[in-house]
Amino acid sequence: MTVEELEKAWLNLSDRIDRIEKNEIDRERLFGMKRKTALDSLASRYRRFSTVAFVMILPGMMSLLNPLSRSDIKWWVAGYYILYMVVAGCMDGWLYKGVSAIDVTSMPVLEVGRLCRFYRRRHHQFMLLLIPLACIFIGLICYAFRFDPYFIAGAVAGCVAGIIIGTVQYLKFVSDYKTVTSD
Amino acid sequence: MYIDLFINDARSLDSLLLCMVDAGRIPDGAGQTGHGAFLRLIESERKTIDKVCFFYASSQSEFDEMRQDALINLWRGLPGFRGECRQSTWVYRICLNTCVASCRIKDRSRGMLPLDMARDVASGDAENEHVEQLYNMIDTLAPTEKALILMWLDGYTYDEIAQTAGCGRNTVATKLRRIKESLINKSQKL
Repeated sequence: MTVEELEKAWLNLSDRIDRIEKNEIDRERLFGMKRKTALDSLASRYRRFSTVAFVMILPGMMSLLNPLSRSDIKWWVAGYYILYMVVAGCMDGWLYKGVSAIDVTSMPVLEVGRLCRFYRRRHHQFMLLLIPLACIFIGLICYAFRFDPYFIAGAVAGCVAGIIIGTVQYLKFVSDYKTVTSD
Repeated sequence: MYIDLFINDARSLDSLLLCMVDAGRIPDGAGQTGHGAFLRLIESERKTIDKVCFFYASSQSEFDEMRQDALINLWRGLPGFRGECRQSTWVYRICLNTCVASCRIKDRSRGMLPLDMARDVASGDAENEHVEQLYNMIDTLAPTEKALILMWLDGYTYDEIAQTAGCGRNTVATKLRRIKESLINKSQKL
């Protein structure tokens, strides 16, 4: 293809794109100015998870004060749980700050692409860290309350629910990022 | 009355926004001039917005989402635009950023929107073949490579591309040369 043919093909292609029928927009969401961009949605998701993680510290702290707890290692379990939630909350909070700082209106294209790749990579690395820590916590729970079958059942149910919810949320996170690893 | 106007006349995103700015519902950081400026902007740059979103979306719904996100980002960024570059260059950058930041996971086998979506214009077989070749070649590019080649094909200077991409002019020249060589090699294989 010569340069002239390339230019002509480009003009032709541009004309064809201009003739594409475009679907109606979601008027209600846009009318109420409630519409978020994909990047906004991602940032708010990180913020939500960070908030939840810090709020969930409270049950851990309450368990330390619970006089009915019979485990001799409850302090270790509760302390580990609180530490886990703090780490998870800080990670999500850091990701929220980073993603929300990506300004598509002023940053150059390569910078936006680089930052998206960077935070996506960090997200995966944090997952690789948090998942084993969660497994350790579940193991501690089961060991601490190994003589209580009801507690064990609850821990297993919580683990299954956590895996399902975590997997769904993970797939949603991944769908909001773009793989530019080939760049 | 505003709602009636909206329901009866707002048939597109542009019409909706016109209704909203006329009713003063959209916050305008640039004063009264922002309303008219934004409307003129999206009207004059409509082709650019659609074109960029077309090359990054892989489905109709994603195409529509990207278009809407791009318009929202343009509105947000309008008060901050100080004329440091051409308006069309600024719009191009925001559209590219929107697509790069919001594109879903690329499944290489899915590629871009199908060319069949764009209605055929009356042209000869050879021209259609060249259009398909060009389309297929762009489809093979990585997202940031795509950004560079799209701007080059639209006639932007190396300096403008460098400013948009955020790298040096020589870097742009080198990258574009490699992309063009790659495209030529692929066109010879097709």
